[in-house]
Amino acid sequence: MADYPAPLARLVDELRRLPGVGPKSAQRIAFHLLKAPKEEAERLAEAVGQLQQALRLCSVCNAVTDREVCATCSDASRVDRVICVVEEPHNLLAVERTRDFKGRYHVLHGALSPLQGIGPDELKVQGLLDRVRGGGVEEVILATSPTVEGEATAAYLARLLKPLAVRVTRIAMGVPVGSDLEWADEVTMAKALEGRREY
Amino acid sequence: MPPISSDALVLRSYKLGETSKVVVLLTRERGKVRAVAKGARGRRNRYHSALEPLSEVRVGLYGRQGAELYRLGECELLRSAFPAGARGLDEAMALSYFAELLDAFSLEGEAEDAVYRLALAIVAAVEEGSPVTALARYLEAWLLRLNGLYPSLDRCASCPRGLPAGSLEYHAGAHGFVCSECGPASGPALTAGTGSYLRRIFGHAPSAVGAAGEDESASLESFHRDLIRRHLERDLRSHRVLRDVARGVRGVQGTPQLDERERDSLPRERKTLP
Repeated sequence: MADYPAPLARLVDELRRLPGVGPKSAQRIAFHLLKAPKEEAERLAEAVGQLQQALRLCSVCNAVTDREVCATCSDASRVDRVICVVEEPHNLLAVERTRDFKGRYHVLHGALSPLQGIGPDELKVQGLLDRVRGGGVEEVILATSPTVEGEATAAYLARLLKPLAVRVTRIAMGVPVGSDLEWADEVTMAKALEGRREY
Repeated sequence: MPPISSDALVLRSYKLGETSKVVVLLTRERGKVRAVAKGARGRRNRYHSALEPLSEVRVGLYGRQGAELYRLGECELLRSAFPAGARGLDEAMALSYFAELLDAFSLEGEAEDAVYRLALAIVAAVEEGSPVTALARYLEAWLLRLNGLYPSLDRCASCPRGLPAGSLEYHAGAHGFVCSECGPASGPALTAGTGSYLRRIFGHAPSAVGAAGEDESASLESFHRDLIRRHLERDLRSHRVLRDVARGVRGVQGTPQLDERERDSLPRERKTLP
């Protein structure tokens, strides 16, 4: 970036740190902002600045929110007796897109990963246990990823939750809707058979 | 350029960009290699479950020989460790530990058929339902021995004498077990029972060794951990995670339900973005 003026080089360097943005894309974005009206660049800078200041974790479920308690947790129409546990805040949106789940959520902010040194202390587990101990929860759905790490996390949570006299369930694993069985791998197919249900 | 074809065990993978992964493979022919699996985290992941830790796969690697980073082409799943890991918490945690141990002891680009066969035997034993604690001690002992780090169980490390029957006295200065004439040893001391369990480990397949007694297993774990730490000059990450998980499970199972007042006194979790 030696040929660019310092402010432009700095912006390109910062943009390159973003996921999915390579050097070419970073340059393209930087020049786009340079040519754009001043207000557009200021709006973007303000939005980025607000991101860290205005957003926080919900004090109940740990989802990302701009208030003390997020919209899902303060929604009185939702069912308190079921909590769906997900790894990351964006996983919550994946469950919400089904429009079928009307319970509450709990975000762990990760999964147990011995290989990366992520243990229970790095996850938001204690809050979940507190909510269950607080009473009124009948079922906890473990919606962690279908990976070895996700399975380990689900198994760990199940061990912690079962003594608290709550029903603990795990989301099913199987063949994606609209796909062809021919292309399903053997592990997925075995899991689909294992989780088959009576018609 | 034709791909390099090899059977391999997946040791670990980490994120690369938006949709890809870097996969660390223990190949039969070329030892440990790293390869980019393009699209492995994307919507059209063609590798499916093949890149989960300790899956046995047949891979096609593209790139010039000796490259630091290959490109992963075909990846046929031969045997998945996922069902074994999904059996329970202990199995899932143990598989991650085994993968880290194999990763730490394997050298890039240096094929070690004995290590590869050992890893396959361990994964097969997990699938068969052998106790994972015993398999952990087995893998540690054999990896240390294959790397020339396990002290002899029969000969004194300081003199040509054989070791007497009974307990094994380790002396750090001699990097091995010493006889009574060469002592006093710095420790630790392994009981006669632990010694005979070790002989079973070095004489049998992993599925045939069986579980050690609680005390023997604990002393062996601590002894192996010291040897591993000294060799790697660091602790394995999974040691701490396994310890914390065990503590968490013990804590909840041994603690009665908290009342309101006790709950309020619990430390609050961080409420800022991680």
